[in-house]
Amino acid sequence: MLPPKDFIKKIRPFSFLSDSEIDSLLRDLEVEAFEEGERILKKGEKSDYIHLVFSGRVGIYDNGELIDQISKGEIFGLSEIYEKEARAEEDTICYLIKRKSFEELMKKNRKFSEFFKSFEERKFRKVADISREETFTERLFLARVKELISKKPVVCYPHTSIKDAAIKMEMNGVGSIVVVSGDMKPVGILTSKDLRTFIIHGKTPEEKVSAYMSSPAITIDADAPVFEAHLELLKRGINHLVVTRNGKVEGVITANDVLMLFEPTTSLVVLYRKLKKSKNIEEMRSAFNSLRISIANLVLRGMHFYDLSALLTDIYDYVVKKVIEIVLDEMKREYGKPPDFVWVHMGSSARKEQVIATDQDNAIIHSGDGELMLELGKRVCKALDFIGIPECHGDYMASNPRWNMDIEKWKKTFREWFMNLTSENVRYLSVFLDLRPIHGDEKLYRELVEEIKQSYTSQSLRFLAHDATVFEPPLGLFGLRRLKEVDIKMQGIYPIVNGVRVLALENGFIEITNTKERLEKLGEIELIDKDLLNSLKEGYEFLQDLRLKNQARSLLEGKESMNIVKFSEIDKIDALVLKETFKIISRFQKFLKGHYGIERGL
Amino acid sequence: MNIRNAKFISVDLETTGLNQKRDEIIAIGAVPILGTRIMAGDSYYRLVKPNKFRLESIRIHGLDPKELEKAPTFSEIADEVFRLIEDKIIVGYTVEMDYNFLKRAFKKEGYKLENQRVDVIDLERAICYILGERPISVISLEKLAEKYRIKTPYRHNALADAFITAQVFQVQLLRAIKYGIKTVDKLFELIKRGEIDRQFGSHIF
Repeated sequence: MLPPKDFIKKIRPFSFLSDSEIDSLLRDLEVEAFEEGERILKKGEKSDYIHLVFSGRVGIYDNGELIDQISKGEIFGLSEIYEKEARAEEDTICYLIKRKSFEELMKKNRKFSEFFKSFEERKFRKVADISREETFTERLFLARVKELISKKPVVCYPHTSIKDAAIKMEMNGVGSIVVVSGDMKPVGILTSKDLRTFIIHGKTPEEKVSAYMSSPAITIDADAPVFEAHLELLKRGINHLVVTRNGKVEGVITANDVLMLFEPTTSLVVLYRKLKKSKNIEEMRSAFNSLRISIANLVLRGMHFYDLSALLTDIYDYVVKKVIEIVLDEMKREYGKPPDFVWVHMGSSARKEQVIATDQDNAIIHSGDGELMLELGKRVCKALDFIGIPECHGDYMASNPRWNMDIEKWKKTFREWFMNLTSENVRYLSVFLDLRPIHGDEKLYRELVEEIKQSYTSQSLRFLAHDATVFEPPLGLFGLRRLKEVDIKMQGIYPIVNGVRVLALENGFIEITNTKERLEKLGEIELIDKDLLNSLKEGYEFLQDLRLKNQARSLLEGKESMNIVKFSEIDKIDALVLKETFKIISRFQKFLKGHYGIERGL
Repeated sequence: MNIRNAKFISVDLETTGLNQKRDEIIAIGAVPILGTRIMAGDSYYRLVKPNKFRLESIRIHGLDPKELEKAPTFSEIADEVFRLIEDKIIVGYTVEMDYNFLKRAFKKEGYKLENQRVDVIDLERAICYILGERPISVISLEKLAEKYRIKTPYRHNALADAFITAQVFQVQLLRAIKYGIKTVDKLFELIKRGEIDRQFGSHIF
């Protein structure tokens, strides 16, 4: 066997190929060395080979401008007639694969060909899906029992009376209570089923728990994998497992907890219903938290950003509305009827692009008593924080008097921002230009949007566009590798969101807040090249997917969520798509610079 | 002749031992190189059935004695091997050893082997000399592959080693070309100079 086989076999998508299929590629393999500066493919050249870089680095040039860098394990020259120019940036060795053998394989191996086709057509979501399947099941089997524990253990002693045990269960809202010895070692478990037995056969509520508990308690170690718990439950036909660490009770998991992990979609329905049934802030908090975890599971199982953000928006909106109603009820009792107001969201929540770790971005536009409104803002924000939507670091919240104003002051503020383009004001604009009414009188919101549309200036457009072009994404995998890590939010998502927003403002539809919808609207007015628009849409979703996956992993592992992606930690395919996406962003930034005349800065 | 048009072939043999008079070839791996392009698709690999078996040696190579039993003898493949390499410059790691084995074997079959040879060790020394680099202390194939960043995990056999040798040679050629050595004659001159310098003035390294 030739050594190239070992090299090629590890590279996706060649890893989808069978041994004999790789052999067929190697049957007429050639290996060529190129000197630094040597031209490998020229524009318009017809080549019989697909180039796979073995070592060195290749620059891809479009009209003399470097647009991509190809390094070890990457392919170029897929299209028969080369549209760009490829040059060796340093001494480079390429494996030359005969186009004919390659195309034959494309016909034979569906996965292999889908990979390339999806990539060419920029169907990034599909590219990622093709190679993903395995990892979700892996993740499922890696989950540990302790991750399922949602409450501190509820325990009693063997000599506790049945009545006291039942009261404790009721107060903690649990279906079972662990019976322990003095040192927290489990001796049995009393479940609702045992309580039924007591009702049928028992004499007095003062009888001891030990007479009715199931003993011994079936236990499982906190670090055991979840599927082991699953097996145990099935094998014994029971509903509760006592989780222990060093022999001591750590919690209880139920068959439902386990099934939820395996079936996050059903759990979502259950939890959503639970959320809607919540009567107070405490109940909402518990439901909301479980919801977030089951959503994180869905993400790791391949749910995509657009579907998920729609779902999250529904959930978050519901929580916010409900909390406002609860607080309003309280306040009505204390202060009487409040003035007209509208509760608005800014940022990602306004754009309906929430991810799991989105914090609060809210404001109040009102038409009356500022003090009362501020009290409303404070109470709602505090309650939301308690439920699990954390307060905003930048203090963009209705609890801050700066963002809790009457309509006339809001209008004045926007006029001021548009006129006086300090970097601070440009930042405010990029936050508050995404505005979505959540609860209350939408008339006030519409009034403000009208004002925005009247008062923006062309200079403000240029400043906002400039803001979208300052962070230039790294070029090529080489650029990515050298950076080691990327901030997907700053270098990927912001340029797109900010650029699209300014275009929406200029073209009179700032009230459409969702980036995808804005892009679609832009498609209707044919301002931007169709291919670029479509690529932006795909690239944007990919970046959000990547960020989401990162967040989901952090949430499930109990770590703080980050927007930084370490290049060494992401999937090879993701790295490839990330690279393509950055190319698209580059193109978009170039468009913005041209469109707003900011090629050489402001 | 311009190096870019020259025909090379990287050859590696496996033998039952190091004694050219007594030991025999049991595998041949060969990878043609056209200029700087390795024609990996045209690689050649054959097991060769030896006339007298030395089992302990076979064990070292990890070759299956049963496979060897089924393989053709050198006499059966002499013609195709000769035609494969006759018009090419033989490239190898410690190439003289393999060349002498081949020459002897061919002679028995009535062929006269007369090829130019390039040893990647000599070429490495020469290139280091002209580029003012300090050569790696022990020039093993592994170390060379490492130096030129072409090291990949692989199973050692005659073909794999011939291929790695070809890759080392390829990078060496590229470096020589960049230095201004464009013809085969110049290349041999360079190697010779490297040898002379080594004999008479090794202190300069």
